[in-house]
Amino acid sequence: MRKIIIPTLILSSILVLYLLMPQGTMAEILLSIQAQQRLFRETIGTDLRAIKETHSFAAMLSLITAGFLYGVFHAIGPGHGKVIVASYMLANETTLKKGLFITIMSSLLQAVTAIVLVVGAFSIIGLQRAQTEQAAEYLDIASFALIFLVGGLLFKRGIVPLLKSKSQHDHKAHHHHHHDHHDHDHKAHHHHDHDHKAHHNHDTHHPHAHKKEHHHHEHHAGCNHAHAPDAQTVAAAVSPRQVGLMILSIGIRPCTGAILLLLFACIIGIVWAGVLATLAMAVGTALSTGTVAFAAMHSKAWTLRLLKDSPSRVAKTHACFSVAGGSFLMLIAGLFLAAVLTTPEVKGNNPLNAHPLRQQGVIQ
Amino acid sequence: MLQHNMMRRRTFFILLSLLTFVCNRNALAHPHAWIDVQSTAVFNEEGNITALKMRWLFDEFYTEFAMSDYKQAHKNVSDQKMLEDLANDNLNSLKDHRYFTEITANKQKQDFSSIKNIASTLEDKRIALDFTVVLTTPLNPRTQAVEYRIFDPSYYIEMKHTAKKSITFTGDASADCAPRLTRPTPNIELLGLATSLDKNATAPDNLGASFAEIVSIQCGK
Repeated sequence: MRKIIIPTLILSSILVLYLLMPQGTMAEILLSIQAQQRLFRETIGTDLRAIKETHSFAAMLSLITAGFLYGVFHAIGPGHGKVIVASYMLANETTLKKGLFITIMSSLLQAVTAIVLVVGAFSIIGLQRAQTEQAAEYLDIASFALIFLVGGLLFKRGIVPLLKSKSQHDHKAHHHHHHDHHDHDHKAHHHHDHDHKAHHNHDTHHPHAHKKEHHHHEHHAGCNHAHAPDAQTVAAAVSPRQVGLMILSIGIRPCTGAILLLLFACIIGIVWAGVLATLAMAVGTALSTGTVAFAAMHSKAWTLRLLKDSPSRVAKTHACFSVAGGSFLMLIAGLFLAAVLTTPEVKGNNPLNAHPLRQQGVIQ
Repeated sequence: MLQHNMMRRRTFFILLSLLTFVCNRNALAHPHAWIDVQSTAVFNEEGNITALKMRWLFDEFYTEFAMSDYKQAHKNVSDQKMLEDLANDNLNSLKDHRYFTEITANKQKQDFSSIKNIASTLEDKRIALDFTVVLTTPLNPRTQAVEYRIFDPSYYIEMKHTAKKSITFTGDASADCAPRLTRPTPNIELLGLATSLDKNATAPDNLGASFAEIVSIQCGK
């Protein structure tokens, strides 16, 4: 019990600190975010012009730095699939390596999407700027549809074994196995080793990466052979195809900042500098999103460590993470999709067409 | 009681930021464009204010995007013609929005009879729009509290007097007058709200007013 109370206490004290923070501080933070947005545009605007006109190396450096910093700090704010990445990490049996791979690849893909969209559609094909931005909105929708799908897969992944293990428990109760099983648990550890190996052999058809990833589960399987379905839960980790789906779901949604920057670069005729800055932005985004992913994985590992003495709870926790993460993803993606599909915005009825300074759909 | 209220506001804000964090797709909050404003109160010989002369300097992105869109739609048009067209378009649509300009005398909103001196140029590669709004009734700043605000009610565009000496007067009769600029102090809910609005969102009525600078004209003594 104490082990659940401690994280709860830490979380609630963070919340209390946040509540007690002087109101002015938060307002100042928000104001400075606003100011930075302006500063970012001013900086990249000036830099791109300077590169175009004087081939200034200093301006190139400044542009790349601005792009990188924008990537880092903007990814801390809303968007950028950071919440999504964190949920993927929490809901999955993912190694740090795989987690960082997803993060880096999705950030890079975001940059590539923005580049293909703006350079390809706007600059080469000659789509109007407003149409290009609208295409980006359609990509947003596609992204959330994929996130919904991934959420569904993760949910299924967690719920199936949870339901199975529940029926298994009922079954056991009837046959009085429960008592024996407890005795076994209290016995020496050599049994555990033996079972552990047996489990490995049994599982040879599973992807290799799998075994490495799930020490605790194998441990759990060894200690409780009666709970075979739980062990299988764990074995059912994400396939490379699902990893690809996760990367795609985040990566096909281009960052607005990158689109702005690329449009500006294309218009003034210095596409390559815009592309470089966009890639620098992706590196920055990968850095912050990677940190979030890292933190998410560690907090999960920490929670699981707290439950170490109770293997059946570890397996159950894994499954619960999967169910919770999957539901959360479906919820946010569902909310977004519902909001988009019920408003006419994307169909070209943007309320800002009514903005008095919008020139033929100009205002960005 | 006060504490309780603050907690409620805080909770509201946390919920709002959570929602933002999760749902915002465009990630870029309001405002989405910036205009650096210069304004000049025009005094007549009797020392009354008859008009407000303004220069709006649009940001780099607005400028490039507006010009690029215009050029996509109109081939072979001179830059000067383009700037004129853009200025006329903008001012025509701004008419229904009282030119984003609100002048008050003793808190009473004043009407404009016309606009004049329209000009549009490129200043340091940014569109500069000059125009003057003429007051229906001249205002006496010595007997009335004269204030003005220039702002976009939707806060899609942030309009600020950024440069030094960006508020001036013309006319000898303004010698004993001085402007006073009050910067906005938006509260946390409004800031949170603005931060949560993406570029397609419609802001609640008059969000921009909370972010508007107030210029008051003080004369005498």
